[in-house]
Amino acid sequence: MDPARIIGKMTPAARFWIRFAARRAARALIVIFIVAAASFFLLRAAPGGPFSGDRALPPSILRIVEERYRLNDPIYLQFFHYLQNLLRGDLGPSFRNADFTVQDLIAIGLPKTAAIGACALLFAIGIGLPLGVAAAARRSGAIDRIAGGIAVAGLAVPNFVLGPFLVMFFSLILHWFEPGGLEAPADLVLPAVALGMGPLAVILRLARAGMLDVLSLDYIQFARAKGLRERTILFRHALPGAISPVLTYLGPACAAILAGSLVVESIFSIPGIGGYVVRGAANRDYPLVMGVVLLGTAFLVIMNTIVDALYAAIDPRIRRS
Amino acid sequence: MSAILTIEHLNIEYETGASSVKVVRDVSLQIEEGSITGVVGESGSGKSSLFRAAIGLLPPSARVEAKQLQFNGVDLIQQLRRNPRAIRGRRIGMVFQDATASLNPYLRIGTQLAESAAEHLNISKTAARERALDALAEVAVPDPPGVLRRFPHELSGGQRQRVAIAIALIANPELLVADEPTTALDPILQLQIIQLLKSLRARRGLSIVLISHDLGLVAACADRVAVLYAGRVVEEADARAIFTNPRHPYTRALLTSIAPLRGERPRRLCAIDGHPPSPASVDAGCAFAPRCSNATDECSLQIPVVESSGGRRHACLHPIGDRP
Ligand SMILES: Nc1ncnc2c1ncn2[C@@H]1O[C@H](COP(=O)(O)OP(=O)(O)OP(=O)(O)O)[C@@H](O)[C@H]1O
Ligand SMILES: [Mg+2]
Repeated sequence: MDPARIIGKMTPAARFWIRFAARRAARALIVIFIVAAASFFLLRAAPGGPFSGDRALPPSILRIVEERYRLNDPIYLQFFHYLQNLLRGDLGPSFRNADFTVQDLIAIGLPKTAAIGACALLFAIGIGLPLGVAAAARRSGAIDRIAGGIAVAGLAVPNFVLGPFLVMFFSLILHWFEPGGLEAPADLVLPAVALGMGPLAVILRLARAGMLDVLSLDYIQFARAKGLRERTILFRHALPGAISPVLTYLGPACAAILAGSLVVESIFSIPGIGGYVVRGAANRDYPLVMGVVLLGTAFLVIMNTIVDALYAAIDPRIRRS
Repeated sequence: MSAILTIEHLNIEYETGASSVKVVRDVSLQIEEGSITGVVGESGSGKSSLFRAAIGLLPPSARVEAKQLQFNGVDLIQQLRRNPRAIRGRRIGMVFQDATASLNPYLRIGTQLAESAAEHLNISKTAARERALDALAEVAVPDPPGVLRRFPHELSGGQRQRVAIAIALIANPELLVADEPTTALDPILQLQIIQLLKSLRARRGLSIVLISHDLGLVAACADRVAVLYAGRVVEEADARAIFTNPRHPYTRALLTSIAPLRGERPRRLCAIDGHPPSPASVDAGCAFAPRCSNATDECSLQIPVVESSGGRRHACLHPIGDRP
């Protein structure tokens, strides 16, 4: 059957979601291409090269190595070549970790970074959102005051201060957790808290403010006049309208967690992706840095798409347009 | 006929920081069963506050004090403190001025109707849906099954107000308080909503309070009318008496300021001179005295006592029709 006929037969909601997916996929490709180009050329514009470290290679060997990695080709040709491989899912060999491709290194580090990041995000949402809602529901009550304190502390204390503090208090003094490494699930707790505390504070404040805004609206008054339970009013009627500032923040929250994981992984000596970026950048390991940057970009693009999809799922007025 | 809602000596004040403003002063009012009672008055005269008090929907800053607040033999003040949901939506329904803002934009109409039915009537999901269909049919919304699936923004303004009325009535409350239900609508839709209220009264014996600052609309449907000025009932009488033979100068002033409803020959529109007093400034004397053509020096010294006779009452020292 011809595609136009199929689309014509779908419900408006299905049509919306198909158009949404198509538009987002196109946009994602463009973003990834731009980031790839920018980081490819910027990396090479920085002084020094992958094999110009303190222990200089003998010229004959350097020539062989440069040939192998095509470092003497014109730069646009190198970029074209990189894109070709990228389309096949090949991120190239790591310059400084011989015998490893970038995919190999990512496969080793990503699970750890992803585990910490996911736990941090769940922690930030799982505590920040309910606490913000509860604070707004009982304004100026005990919970509201505690939440206010948490929000201020979470915003004021950066993760490179909070991390060592957590290690000192919970590992060295209380011996509840290991001070570093990632051997058991419990080892995720401290890094996730250190990483998620900042986003938690922001989510808490946004949820509280959003909830207070919505609770003063006419449709909440009307829900009260209907004689609904306070719980129903809070969760069914107020929450969907209050949550959009929190959703808006989830994209930036993911970026903050991604950036913060560089620091937190080194505090807790976790061999995640963060270490590769730092070492790779210092070593001019172009493919490794490129690979990690593109991975981060893809992650943020996907998270932003999910956030926008959630918007549309919650608010019927967005689906209409 | 007996009274469904009895208000005696009701006072409401809002605490605003250090001071407080009295916005409803010593109001006594009876709403007769099966009647449509119009409550009219300028903006800020305390109409909404008065009836929000009856379902306990005032903000926490409001202080309510009354000698008596009875609904069908139930002490409302006590009941609202103990279990407000046994009153709200269940025995007294309320709709507000702006139905667009009253309906939750995130929820389907069907959800918003059925949740009230399920809450109050203790019935299953399917039964609540049936009830929702009936309720939509009762307020004459076309295509009830289709409307159930829609979101508020997919309806017209008039339909939204009908839906809001259906929601307010779904648990069969005995009294409907309609707080300026037509202000956001154009004149033709206003009349249609008024017709709907009249037919609901006729079919279900529903008692209705119609709050409005539009005397023309009230004239089109009310049996009795109470006129509020600066938080006080200044006149209350049968609708016909109010319109043909107003006793309080403020009522007369309101009447001469109505725009003609329909078919009538346009009259000269005359606004009432001056501004309504701010609630904080009224203390001694008749609040209307500064704007009143009948006022004498006494008027600004003492609060006029309520005179009642022949089923009507007014609070004025120099009512219209009394020649000194
Ligand atoms: N939460 C509040 N805090 C302080 N003052 C309030 C509050 N709500 C209402 N008021 C004041 O109480 C007075 C009466 O308000 P109310 O809404 O009852 O009047 P109304 O007759 O319904 O007016 P309108 O026709 O504009 O709806 C107004 O002067 C208003 O400013
Ligand atoms: Mg009002």
